[in-house]
Amino acid sequence: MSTVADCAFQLKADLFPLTVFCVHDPRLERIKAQLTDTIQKAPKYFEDAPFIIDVSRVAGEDIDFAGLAAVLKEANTKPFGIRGVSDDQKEAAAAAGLALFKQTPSAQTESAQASPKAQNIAKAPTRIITKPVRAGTKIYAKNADLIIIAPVNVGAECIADGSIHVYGPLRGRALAGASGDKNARIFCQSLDAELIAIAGHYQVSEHLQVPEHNGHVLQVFLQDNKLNITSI
Amino acid sequence: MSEVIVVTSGKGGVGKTTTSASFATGLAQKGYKTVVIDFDVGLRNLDLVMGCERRVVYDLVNVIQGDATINQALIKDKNEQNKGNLFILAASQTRDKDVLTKEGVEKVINELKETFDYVICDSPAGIEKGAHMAMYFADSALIVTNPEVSSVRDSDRILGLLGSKTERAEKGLSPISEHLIITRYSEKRVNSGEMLSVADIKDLLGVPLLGIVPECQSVLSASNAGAPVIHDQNSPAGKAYARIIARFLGEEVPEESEKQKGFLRRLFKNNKEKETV
Repeated sequence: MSTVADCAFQLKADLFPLTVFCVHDPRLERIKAQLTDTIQKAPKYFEDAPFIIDVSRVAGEDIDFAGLAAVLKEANTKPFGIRGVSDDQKEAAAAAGLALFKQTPSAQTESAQASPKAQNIAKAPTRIITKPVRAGTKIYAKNADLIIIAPVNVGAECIADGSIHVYGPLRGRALAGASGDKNARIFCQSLDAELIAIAGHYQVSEHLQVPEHNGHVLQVFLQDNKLNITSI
Repeated sequence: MSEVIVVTSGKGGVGKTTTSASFATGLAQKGYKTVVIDFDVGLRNLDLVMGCERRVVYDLVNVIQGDATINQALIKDKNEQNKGNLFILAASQTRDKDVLTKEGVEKVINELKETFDYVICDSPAGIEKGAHMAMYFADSALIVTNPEVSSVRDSDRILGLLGSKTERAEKGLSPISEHLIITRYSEKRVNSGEMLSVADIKDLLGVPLLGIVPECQSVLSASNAGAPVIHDQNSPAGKAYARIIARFLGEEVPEESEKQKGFLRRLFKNNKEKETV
């Protein structure tokens, strides 16, 4: 093995959960007043807390970056970065000792993590599987639909926050709307599943009532919290 | 280039060791230097089936732990038909599978690849350490399946593992070459609906079929005698393994249907042969 001890440092990628200080009103007196009030309620939380300031909501207004940083430092917090600055504000912000962060469209995903409202989640691209899903395999399409163009064998599990389409025999388990989306559906050409479920409402193979469908596609959907299986 | 072949199934008792023994023997008879390794640490059987149980001095675990060299552990098969090409590396009977390490197994297999054309790994049943180590370094796999539901489901699980938890899968190399061998096949029971048909199994597993070995009493006799059943070219099972070897090495060999050869036999015999359970 190559010796790690040879080098003086190593660069690694890592993720950190951080608090974002979203500015709604750039007037320092108002910020100072609200800060004092907020900190009183939870002093330990703010002590030495690293902050990233977000000024996207007050874009276009005049912001005293140095003053803002000072106010935050006075309150014993540690502002070290800023995002949402426009190009002409960048210099001033950097001069105040704040690192510039890119504005990411993550507001939606943040709120989704905080409160799982299925409608507000930013949808990820559809996952497509073309190899047979073998026994013991679990596939989870997070915030996405799942399309499987292969058999789903007995003992395999396909889970999606969105809908599931199976273009091959469905013999394993299919769980759509895994995070609570009741509008998710399951589409398949042959339904011999061990278990199907939409948003937690499930049915096992013993109780499955599969209608005659002559090879047409079947769809499974939730109506009044009951699973319906119909031929398309 | 040396090839590592794992003989696996998931389900126990389907015919992995029987197949490993005959497959390795068949390759040796065709002139290839072959070694067959028993990965069933603690429950070794390969040495019995190969007829060398009284010559085991050192085993796979001894080699991994450095108590012996590979050459000290390798047992040469005495059968003249194998032309001195066949060697066996037995498993330990007193230890268990926890002593197998990835590095240890890798070292043994790499050393064997230097002198042998084929390294056959006889996997134990299950999906734990022994089976995982047996399949990890494989280039090809023989998936042994009985024509019944639980065996097919377990084989499917094993196929999933072959495609995800092996060196080739983890390093993104070309995938393991998979071959299906259906064993203990009885055409009569398939026709009566008790057993799954070849078409059903192929449909469920989706792996190319290498051969079908019929249920055959000679397998037990061979195991008792310590001579792999491929030596018995009068038995259906022995002939089936010979066909499998031929196909593996690239020949086109049609499968023998029981109906064709059974017709004349039934015409002249008094039904003395009973179908085994």
